[in-house]
Formats: sequence, structure tokens, C-alpha cells
Amino acid sequence: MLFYHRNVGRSFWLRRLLVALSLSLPLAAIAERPNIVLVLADDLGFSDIAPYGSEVNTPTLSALADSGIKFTNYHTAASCAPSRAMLLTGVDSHRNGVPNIPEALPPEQKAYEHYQGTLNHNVVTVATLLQSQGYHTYMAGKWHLGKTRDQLPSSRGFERTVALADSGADNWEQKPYIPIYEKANWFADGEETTLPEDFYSSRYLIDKTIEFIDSNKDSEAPFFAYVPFQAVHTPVQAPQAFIDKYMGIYDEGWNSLREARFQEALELGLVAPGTSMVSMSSTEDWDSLTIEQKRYQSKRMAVYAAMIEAMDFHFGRLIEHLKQAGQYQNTIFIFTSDNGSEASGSTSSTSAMRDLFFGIQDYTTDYETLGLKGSFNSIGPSFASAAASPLAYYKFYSGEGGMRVPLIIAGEPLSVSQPVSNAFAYVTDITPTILDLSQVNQPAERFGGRRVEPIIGRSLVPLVRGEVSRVYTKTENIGYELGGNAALFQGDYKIVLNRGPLGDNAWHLFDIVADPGEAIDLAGSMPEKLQQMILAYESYASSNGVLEVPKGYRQQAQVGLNGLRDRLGPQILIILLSILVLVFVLVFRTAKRK
Amino acid sequence: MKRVLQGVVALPGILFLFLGLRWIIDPASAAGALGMTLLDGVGRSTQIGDLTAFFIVISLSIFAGLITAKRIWFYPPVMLLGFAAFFRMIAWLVHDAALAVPMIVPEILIAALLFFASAHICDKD
Repeated sequence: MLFYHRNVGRSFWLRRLLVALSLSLPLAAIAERPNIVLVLADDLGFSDIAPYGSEVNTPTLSALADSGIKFTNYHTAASCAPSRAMLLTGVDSHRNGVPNIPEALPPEQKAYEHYQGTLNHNVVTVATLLQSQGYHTYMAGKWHLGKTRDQLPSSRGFERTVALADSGADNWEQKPYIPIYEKANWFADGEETTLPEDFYSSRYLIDKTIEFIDSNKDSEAPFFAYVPFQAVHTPVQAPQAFIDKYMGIYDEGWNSLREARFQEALELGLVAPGTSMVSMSSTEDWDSLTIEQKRYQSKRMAVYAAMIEAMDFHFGRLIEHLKQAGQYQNTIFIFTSDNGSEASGSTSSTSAMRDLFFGIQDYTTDYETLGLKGSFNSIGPSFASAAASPLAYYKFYSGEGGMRVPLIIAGEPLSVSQPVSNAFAYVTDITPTILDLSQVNQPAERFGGRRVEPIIGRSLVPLVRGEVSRVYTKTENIGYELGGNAALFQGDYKIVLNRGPLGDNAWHLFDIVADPGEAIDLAGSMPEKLQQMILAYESYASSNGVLEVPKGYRQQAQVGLNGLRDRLGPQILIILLSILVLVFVLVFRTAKRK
Repeated sequence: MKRVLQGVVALPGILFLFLGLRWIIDPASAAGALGMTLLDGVGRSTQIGDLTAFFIVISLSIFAGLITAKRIWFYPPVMLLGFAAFFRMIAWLVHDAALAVPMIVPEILIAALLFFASAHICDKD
């Protein structure tokens, strides 16, 4: 433990030294490089924004997509923290310390150093690399990669930060959204902080980003701003004015929405002609709902759409501010999501368990105030499937609905040669892309005095400029595993294994270019290809230290158990020890009597 | 009623006898069933020796209780199973062990069954 602290201290001073040295770079060289704004939505599905076939009004993102390039075959991890860790480092989640969210790690895996669910110090963040080359680096939003001082963004390359350390939190006030947290853990520049009274997450995060940017407006150095929104993670909440726009829009239900977005995706050329769509077993029969239930479900989705539009609106404020500040022309924008749509929350609008669960946290779920302060909302599995249309599965699962999300890269400094790229791209490509755009080298074998993991991703800049049609060859393997759900990409093909409750724990083979909906399993017709890719996956798993999940592992149940222990462990221990003392007393009294 | 209870109580006696024998006959599979790998050297000796003794004592005590109709014979299995469940929970709380619900629940249920059934099938001590 002492050695660990020594290392932290040493790396801290080395980082300071690197920053100091970088500040001596010629100003002209620094000023030529573009600002980078990386915006990350939370749990946003593939077809949740207008450029990807959504009915939700997202003018900011539409404008960016129109002027830049949108990727139709971009993949991320199917859960938040592993995606964020790969996004910011370009290193596989099993090597950067975040193979799963820490809240869901079973003890069998947590016994291993590389399964802690927090970003380890064997990796360098893109912020550290940019900061070391003179960039100002800012972050405002959800971090979820560790909450101790040396794990917070202020210790991982970000100069100014306001960060939520948890998996999520309320959007209207400083309040935890699930009972595994005692409080919503917000930090500003590495110190615990309190949110303002008039807090709404998307507005606040953009306000802080603008504040950070303006704090260095006289500086010649470019900036990197990372804005990981809370939107549209649960609790799904939005201002009333935005909700009002979507009331009644979803009255036809989830099947109708999924079909409409599918048709729009076909029309926009986001999926291949002839794409088929499967129906998830978790999707309920809309027609079997009562009028009252339909009304409630429709509003759940209306709030979700409102939250997306509110995010887009506030992102638009940032862009407008950059225009007014004369920074827009030198800024590149990258927009994506951390994983596919989130399916939590039952379809039932009323149940005693549900009321009890939310009542404990002082949340209401009534129709009238749904989405407002004090209300808890989610969209449930049926609308989540529509949010991922036309893809199969959603968040947590390694189906395309969990892994394929929007990616838009835009900005005047780019020479975009094509509006759409259908090339395969992966979350680990974002860091090398940013480094390429900012003319910063990838870290060598050693950085800051320690050996670091090499970046495995590829720069997408050659795709943006139209110099290549793909950055991965048809025979290269990109492996993936999270909570026992697994996949391997190779050219146009993907093998995928999903555990329960929706998956069958068996490998399936799909051509995700011709069949992004994963409707036609090729495992039977291409057994040799399947076998060859399974072997490639096993090689990936072995070389990256992928651990099997324990028998019977269920992610949600594990989150509950870990949360119970973390929150109520001492109290349970006192009760158990009291029982032990009582048993001893009873045994001795009985023995004495006899 | 007494006969039915005797039959019900005999079932865990048989079960634990088989579990004990399994540790002697096929320790690798017995270890796997309890979420362990079979260790080497002294570790293996401890695993096989202690766990076989654990299950055999439970089984023999249950049968001794059934044969003699003396309740005191049921106390060792009740305590062994009850404390096993108890310390599994402590292990989860304090030592980062998994909360082995599929094992804790049967241990508590069988301990409770033995404790309450013994009151009806045994002579007053």
C-alpha cells in the first residue's frame, strides 16, 4: 500500500512537470491546433436522434451531421463505465481496469487487480496527453471511473472539472437515483461540491463548460472539452416545456415507433436495403394495454424525447457561445453515446413493489408530474427496443442494440469528404482520432515514468477525409466482453453471445453489414467461419485477462447485493453478531439448567 | 405424524452422508460443487479431511438422534449448519466472499427443520 502511495505522488509531480514543460511550446504551434469538444450522451439508442431516423427534434445534432460525417457502423461497449474507460484511453476495458461497472462486479472477479471497475494507472487518458501538449482540458458531467482523489478526472488530465462519480443521479437536484448510493457524489476540481438550487443537468453541464472555456479566453492554447451528459440515463427527466412538445406523439406505441424509425433508417441509408428486424421477447403487446396504461406509457416516452431535445438544445447553446466567442471555426465536435438504450423499469404503471422502491427514495411516479422534479421515470424494455430500432437487444447486451450507437464528427477544421461512413469503428478509436486531430502523439511504451498500455484503436481521420474506406481489415479481430456477454467483430461479421434473461448463452454469427438487425443467424450455414471466430475470441479473452462470470451471475442482482453490503453492511454485521451472542447465552443457560 | 417427521429428517441425513462420501471418492467434483478448486498438499488434506468430517458428523448425528430418540444428537447438525450459514454471511460482509444464497437458504432451512422436528420425534430429555 505504501508503494502505491509513493507511485501516486511521483506520477503527480511528473504530470505537473510535463504540463510545465508543455507550456514552453511555441504559441504558434499550439494555436494551429483545433479545439476538441467531445460530447457523450448516456444510454442514447441508435435511432434516438434525428440524423439517425428519430422523430425527436435535435437541430444541433442535425446541423452537425449535415456538415460533418456520421458513422453508421460505430460500436461501443454495452454498459457505461467500460465504454467511458475505452473512449478516454483507447485501451481495451480488461486492460484499463474497467471490464464492468464497479457496482456490478461479483467478489469472484473483484479479487483481481484488473477487475476493480475504476480506471487504473496503467493507462493514460486522452486528456492527460492533450494537457501535456499544451491543451486546456475541461470536463463537466458523469465520470463513473472512480471516486477517490487519484481516480477523479482532476487527477486524470483534466484541468477544470465538475464530475458526477456515480453511475447516475437525479437531473433536478443533488440526490441519488437508486438506494445503493447514500448521496449523489459530485466533485468540482477534485473536491466534493454542492449543486445549485436551480440545477437541471444538461443546462448546468453546459453552463460549466462555457465557464471553463471562458476562464481561459485570453489563452492562445486550444482546449479539449469533454461533456458527458447525464441525459438520457434514468431517471428520465426533462423540463415541462420540452415534455409538452411530445405529448401524444407516442400514442401508437412501441411497435409503431420501432417500425417508423426502421423505415426512416432505411430511407437515410443508415442500414442496408433488405435489413430485417427482430422483435424482442421483452416487448409487450401494446394492444393488450388498457387506455390508461397506454396513456402512461406514451408519456414515459414523451419525457424521454424531451430529455433528448433538452440535451440537444443545451449543446446548441455551447456551439452558439463558441460562435460568438470566435472559437467555432477552430473547433471539432465529436458526438456519441456510451451504450445503447436502457431498458430498466417495468411496463406496469402501478405496483406496490414499484411504489415502495421509489417511495424509499422520495420519488413519485404519477402521470401528472412524470419527468419533473421529484419524479422517477424510465422507458422500460419495450420502448428501449424502439429506441434501438432497427437493432436487436439494448443496453448490457452485446447485440447491436446494446453496442451500435450514433457517432458524428464535425467541425470547420475538418475536410469531410463524405457525409456517411459505413465502415466499422469502435470506441477505442476515439482517443487516437482526437490525438490525430490535435497532432499529439500516442504515448510511447512509458509515460510519466511508468509503463503504460498501448492504444489499440485506430484514428478515424483517414475515413473522415475519405482517404480510406475502412480502418480495420477484413481479417482483423476486435474482441469484446462485458458481464459474460461477448462479441467478436471481423470484417462484416460478428459473433455474439448473450446470457440471460434474454440471451441463450450460445454463440451466433451475423453479417452486421447486410443484416444489422441480427435477424439471420449464419451459425448453421457458415460453421467454419463461426468456429474460426470463436477461436479468435478465445485468443482475445485469454490475452486480455477476461474472467468468466460466476455461475448464475445476474448483473442487476449483483448491483443490488453489492449495494446492500456497501450501504447496510455494518448494520447487518451488528445484527448478526448480536444473534451470535444471543445463541451463546441461550446454549450456556440451557446447558447449565441440565 | 411422528413417522412422517422421522422420514423427512432422515432425508438430509442421507444427503449429507452422500456429500461426505463424495469428498472421499471424488474430491475434485465435490470441491467444484461448493465453488472451490481442489487444492494441493496440505490444502488438499484440509479440504478433504475437514469437509468430509463436517458432512459425516452431520449425517451420523441425525441418524443417532433418530435411533436413540435423544434430542441432544440433533444439536451438532443444527449448530454446524446454522453456523455455516451464519459465517457465510459474515464472509460476504467482511471478507469479499460471494453471498452464497443457494447454499445459505438450504442450510438455514435444514437446521430449522432438524431443530423443530427433533422436538416432536424425540423423548423428553
